[in-house]
Amino acid sequence: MNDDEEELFEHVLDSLNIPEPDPATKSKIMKAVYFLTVAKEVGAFQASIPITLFDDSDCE
Amino acid sequence: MSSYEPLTDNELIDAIQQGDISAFEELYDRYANKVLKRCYFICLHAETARDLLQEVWIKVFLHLHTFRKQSAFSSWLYRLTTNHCINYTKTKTHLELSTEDTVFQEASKEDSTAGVDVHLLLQKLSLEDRAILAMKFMGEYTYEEIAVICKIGVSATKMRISRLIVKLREEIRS
Repeated sequence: MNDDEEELFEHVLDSLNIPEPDPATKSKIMKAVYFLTVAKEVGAFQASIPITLFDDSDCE
Repeated sequence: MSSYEPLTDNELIDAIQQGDISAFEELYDRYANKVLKRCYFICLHAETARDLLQEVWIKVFLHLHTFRKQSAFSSWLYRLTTNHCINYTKTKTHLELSTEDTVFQEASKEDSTAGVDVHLLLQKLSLEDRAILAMKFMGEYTYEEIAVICKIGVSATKMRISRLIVKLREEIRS
């Protein structure tokens, strides 16, 4: 990729003068990331439980 | 200054992979605006760009383990952004996305240094042309890859990109 062309493209993007994303957007993303992290940890915990603990064949 | 600021992107990624959500927040702060600009470049719709921004960052979090650190994080991020936005636009008709959105437009007009209404300039380009430019300059796709995606020849791809660059340059200079 040519530096000159890349510079032109960056210039176009900068000229759009897009404002910083609002804090509410960040807050939504961070909440989702938090829930995903918790879900991942719960999933890992469940996966770590030996399957035999769920085996109820001897209960009857 | 946050304690994360001196860290490199790759150091932040290591921290995120160890469950540090604040490191993810720092990564977001570094690149959110750059990603938003790129989303907007493709869809030209402020509200859609904000939605895409959220989706991209959730995707970043979910797929961060696939980033091998063989290139800059920004390259990986911008390619992911390009792919996500292009896939999104494929599901929408041009009409749905062409609705005027004044929020970002007003922001641009206030910029006296711009000298040209870049929004108007981008609206003159077709969605496919913007997608091609995005693939080349945001996603760092090769001409060959773009040719395959667009189902055109490699030389036609080169020609098309070259014409688009000339057009952008002329409009910006005028």
